[in-house]
Amino acid sequence: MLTRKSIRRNVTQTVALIERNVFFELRFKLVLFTSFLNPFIQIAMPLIIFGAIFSISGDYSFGYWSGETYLLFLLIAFCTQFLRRIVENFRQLFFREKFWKTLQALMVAPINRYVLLFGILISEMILLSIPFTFFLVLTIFIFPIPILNLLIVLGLFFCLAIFFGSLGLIVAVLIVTREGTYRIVKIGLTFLYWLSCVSYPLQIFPEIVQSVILLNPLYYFIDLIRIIWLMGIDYNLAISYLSPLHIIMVSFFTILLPIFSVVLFNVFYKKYGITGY
Amino acid sequence: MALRGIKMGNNENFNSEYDIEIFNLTKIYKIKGKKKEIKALDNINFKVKKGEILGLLGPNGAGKTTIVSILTTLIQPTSGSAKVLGRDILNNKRFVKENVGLMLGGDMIYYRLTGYRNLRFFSKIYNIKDYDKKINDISEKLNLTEWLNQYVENYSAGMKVKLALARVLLIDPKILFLDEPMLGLDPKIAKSIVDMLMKFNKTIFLTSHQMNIVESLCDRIAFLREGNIIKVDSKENFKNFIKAGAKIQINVSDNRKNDLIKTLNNLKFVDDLKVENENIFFVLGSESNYPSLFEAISKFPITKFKEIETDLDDVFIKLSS
Repeated sequence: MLTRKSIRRNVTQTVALIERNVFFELRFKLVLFTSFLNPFIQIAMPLIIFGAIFSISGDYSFGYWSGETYLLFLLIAFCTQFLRRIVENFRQLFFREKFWKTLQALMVAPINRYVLLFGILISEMILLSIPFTFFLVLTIFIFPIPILNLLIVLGLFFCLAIFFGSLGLIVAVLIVTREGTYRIVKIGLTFLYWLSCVSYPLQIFPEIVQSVILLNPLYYFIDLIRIIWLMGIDYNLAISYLSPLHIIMVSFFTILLPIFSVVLFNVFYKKYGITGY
Repeated sequence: MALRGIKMGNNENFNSEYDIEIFNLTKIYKIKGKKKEIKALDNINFKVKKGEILGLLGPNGAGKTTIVSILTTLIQPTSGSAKVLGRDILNNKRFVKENVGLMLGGDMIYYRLTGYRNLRFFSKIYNIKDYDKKINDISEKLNLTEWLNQYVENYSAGMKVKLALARVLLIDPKILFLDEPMLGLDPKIAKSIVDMLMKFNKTIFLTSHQMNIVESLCDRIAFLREGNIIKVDSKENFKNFIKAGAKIQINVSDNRKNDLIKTLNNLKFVDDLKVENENIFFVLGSESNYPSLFEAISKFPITKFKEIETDLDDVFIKLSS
């Protein structure tokens, strides 16, 4: 049962995890700095390619992806890419903790798994906040958005971070307990990202692929963020692509996935313990 | 009787005189791919009294760390049960986690953080109030103060062990589980830590291969071999166990050495005969065999005859084999 004391303890533990992770990363500042630079290099190529395509064919469009909005797709995709790193960072962190033998120190401590999830998640969000904010501000600058829509978008990005954090915890427990299975899960994650329409519209894919994409929860997170943003640009166009399924899927997975990931963590850890070190 | 602040909340027996109770504990590891099972612990039973310091000895792979891991909730037993501070460990994991401290040698500390950051992190995880003062106190006792703001990766092996010990002492647990706590420490620091641990007046469960540490720190010793408890007794009784057969060193003139060895080998009450350079060592079955021994060796020009004091190393070697 949650009491004031237990809430205070959970908050203190979450802050401790945040501090620890931030100081881990600050140990090698140059690595952190170059990780911020990478996205700027990565975005250059698609910008050039899409710019060229749309300059040749100005009325070219798929769904709401057009010469006017492709840049919005790209910028939101890059903001999403930053958050996607949370999954990989969870994997790295638990992998290191396993070999440092510090994981035992955490597992033997009276620490709630939700604290573990949110402590690491928030620290990752803090570490990613500098480049993320840069791209977000750039997107706002190019595609101005009403403050209410912006707040909704920020909320949705937070939900997306929870989604990625939960995926991260699932990957983390596999790394700790069944390291071999991680490779299989990684293939699954690759498909999850490919079929999320992160920087392309759904309509560009053949119908059979579209029906698979519509089963992918990640697609709804990204598409909903774009639709809300687009509402500030072309409300009628945006609203025509919004479906109740967007809201249902985003809400469902924001709540369900963290619970599932914590349950999975506990079940796997109890069954297999720490293996492979 | 003081219950050390344990809350009375269910029907389990908190008045037990034991802090640790182990009942028929078995742990089987499955070896992946080989369809093979290893019995790391085989129906173990023993108890540790409140405030007692118990040393768990045994050769590598005997199951010492498995016991510690089960008692600290890191792994699950295959069968059997155990109680820590009167509560079943499987049904009271949170309680156990809040009341035990585990140290695995110089591990369980973050090399990428400074010593202070490590201690601060664990203080917050264990919800320790006024942690800065406690960090300073413990660091001072362990001579860590000057190193607190250095990254742990720059510490010597001994310094890492000290920091690991500081981490576990900081959380002030009711039971300390120390797995090889003095590994890599010089004798002076090891002694100061032993003195410090003895003053803590806590239940300590210690595993170590350093017999001098076990001898000076522990009240009782449990010896584990191939997952079985061979003997649980006081350290004095452990030594007497060997002393029942006195350990003897004999030196003889070189030209008669082989004859003496042959003679000794023929005596039924002589065991574990070993030759190291000019020294001959053996264990005498019992003190009552002395007259027969003297009679047998009287014809040899003995240059040295010495009864060697038994230490825990001898016990370890004897019980391991």
